[in-house]
Parts: sequence; C-alpha cells; structure tokens
Amino acid sequence: MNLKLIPCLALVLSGLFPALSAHAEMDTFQISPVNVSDSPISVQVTNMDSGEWFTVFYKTNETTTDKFLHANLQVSDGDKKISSVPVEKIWTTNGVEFEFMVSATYLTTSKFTITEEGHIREMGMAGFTNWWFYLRDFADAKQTAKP
Amino acid sequence: MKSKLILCLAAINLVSPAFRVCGSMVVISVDSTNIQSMPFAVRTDTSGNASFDKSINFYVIADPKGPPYTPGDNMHFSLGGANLSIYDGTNLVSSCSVAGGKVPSFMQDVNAPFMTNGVFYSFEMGTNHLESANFEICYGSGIHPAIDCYRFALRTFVPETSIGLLLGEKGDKIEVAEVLPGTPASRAGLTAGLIVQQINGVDSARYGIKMAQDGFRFGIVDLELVDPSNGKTNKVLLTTAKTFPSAIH
Repeated sequence: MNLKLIPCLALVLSGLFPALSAHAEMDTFQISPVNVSDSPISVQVTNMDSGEWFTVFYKTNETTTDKFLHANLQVSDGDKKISSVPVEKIWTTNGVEFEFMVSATYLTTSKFTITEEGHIREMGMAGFTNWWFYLRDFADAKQTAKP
Repeated sequence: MKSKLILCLAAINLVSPAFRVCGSMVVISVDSTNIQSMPFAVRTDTSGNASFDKSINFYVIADPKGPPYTPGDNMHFSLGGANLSIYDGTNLVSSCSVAGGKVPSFMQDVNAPFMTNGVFYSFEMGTNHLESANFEICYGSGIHPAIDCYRFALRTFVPETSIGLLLGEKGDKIEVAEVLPGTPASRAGLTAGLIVQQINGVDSARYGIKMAQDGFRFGIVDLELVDPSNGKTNKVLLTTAKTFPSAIH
C-alpha cells in the first residue's frame, strides 16, 4: 500500500510544483569560448601588468537568490593546488559579477566555477547546477560574449 | 614645509586612531603578537584535507563593526570586505575579493559576539605558496571617508609540528638555543644551553643543524643531552605535537 502511495505522491507533487523537479537535478557544464553564448555566463579578460583580469557575469533569473549562488576560484600550478577561494558576488541590475586576477603563468589548470544550489524560495533542495571553465580557454581567446 | 606637514599628519594617523583625519587609509600589519586586539580571529584546520602537507583550511571570523570604538573617534567603522593575494616571490599569482557568510556552528572557541554577528571567510590554501600569501580585511567609516585595513601573512597562523626546540651551534656541537613554551620540550623540562649529543641514537654532529631541526618535526624523537654546567647526561623521549601560534582570541 505504502509503496504504491509514494510514487503516486511524487507524481502529484512534481506536477504541482514544477520548480521542485527543475531544482532537483545535478547538472555540470563546462564552458568554453565556443559554447559560452549558450550559457547564462559571459567572460571578459583584460591583460594587466601583473596578470589577467577576469570579469565574469552570471545572468540571473527571478528564482536566483544570493543564499544559493556561489562562485569559486581554484588556482593551480599543474596538479598542485595553490588555493581554492569563494569569490565575492557583486549584484548588478540583471545579474551577478565576479572579478579576480590571475597571473598568465598559472592559467593552464586554474578554473572558475559558479554553482546555483537547488531551492524553492528560501528553502534549500537537493540538486545544483555547476558552470565551470578553465581560465586558459578565455585568456587565449580574449573573447567577450554576452548572453 | 608642506611635505613635512603631510608626514606629520600621517604619523598622527598611525599613532592614534582618535586623531585620524578624513580621507585616510591605514594599513595595520597583524601577526601572532597583536592578533589579540584585532577585530577578527583566525583559525586553521587540516583535518578535512587529504594531507597536512598539501593544503590547509583557513577560517577568518570578522567583527562587522570593525575596530574597537575609541571615545572621541567618531568614525563608526563597518566591514567593507576581504581580499586574498598570493605571490610567487614578488610576482602576483592571484588576487580576489573573498565572499563572506554566516559563521557555521562547527566553529569552536570563538567569542560569542563573533559567533552571532561575525562574518565568516573560509578558503583553502596549498602549502607550497603559503610563504607569500596575504589576507586583508578592510573597514570603512560610514561617516568620514576613512579606511582601516588589517593585513596578515597566512604563514603567520599555520600550525607547525615540532617538539619545540630551536637549535644553535656551539663550536662543533649542537646546543639547545631556545625552548618554546607549551611544547613537548618545555613540558619535559629541557632548557636552553643543553648540548644535544645524540639524536635517535646517532651522533648529532652527523646531522648538522638543519637536518637535526627538520628531524624534530615528525614522530618520536630520542635525545641524549648533556648539561655543560655539571657534565650530566640525560636521555629524553619526546613525541612531536602541533604547536599553534597565538592566533586565537
């Protein structure tokens, strides 16, 4: 009896709350200059004296909240991790901006990740979406792409 | 004349925050000797990482109100942000503003006001670049255009594993130059001036100072010491332990 009831309830709930099923997924996307235009992300790289200055823009929607959005910069030297740091969010009118500088010497295996955790309003849910890219890909291309 | 006046004003800024003028920016260097009076605490943790030798988690808990209020100093500082800069010698490796959040409940030995209202910064650092990595916390005045920045080298707050002995050379012998308080060596009653005759059964002269000091960082150390004042030989067995700088307040 109980076994039949649970799938039935799950079906009803997922039908009633489409957001629930949407946020329960675990998706990871690697971005490159080739596919960045299909993502909510744009990357600008500016060459400075002491390194490459990255400005990453994440276009938010009406469900995005500060609490469930995170970004991480991992700087590596080959296979050795130098640092892993949560990057501060700068909220703008229609998205969030992240800024950081990395020396050209350390771009090859360094990467940046934006994670939006699953949630319904202020309540956390299982699942997340990860968008990540190797810094080298955008530094080489010096590409600017707005979604 | 003008430059003298500017220097004078800058000196006043550094000496007393109460006389700080508008538009000033003060950078305060923080280490284990003055952390106790700072508006933030630093913790380190290696337990969650694959290897102590590879990376260390740093936790910084900052008071959102900033420097302690001084009567007459009508600045009312509040937390502006934090920045991590990593260098390879003098060349920049990376720099970014670090995201802060609520203090998690797993933090221990943190003052109650910090636990409730503090801003929590957490990041992981590889040990290979600790020597030249700096963390900076800045507070801005809401009333006057003034900024106070607190800067510390991450290396300052990294726990070390040792028995707590610093060695020196005396002729062709190795002697105990200093015994660090609160360490296995100090608990065993060792004192400065003792001659290290043998380390793990081997004549200390064969080690040399550097190798001997490095050998004191891991496992169990068997020492044969001679007190030069009375010629007595003493044997001690010491187990290395983590020795923390005074990063906690």
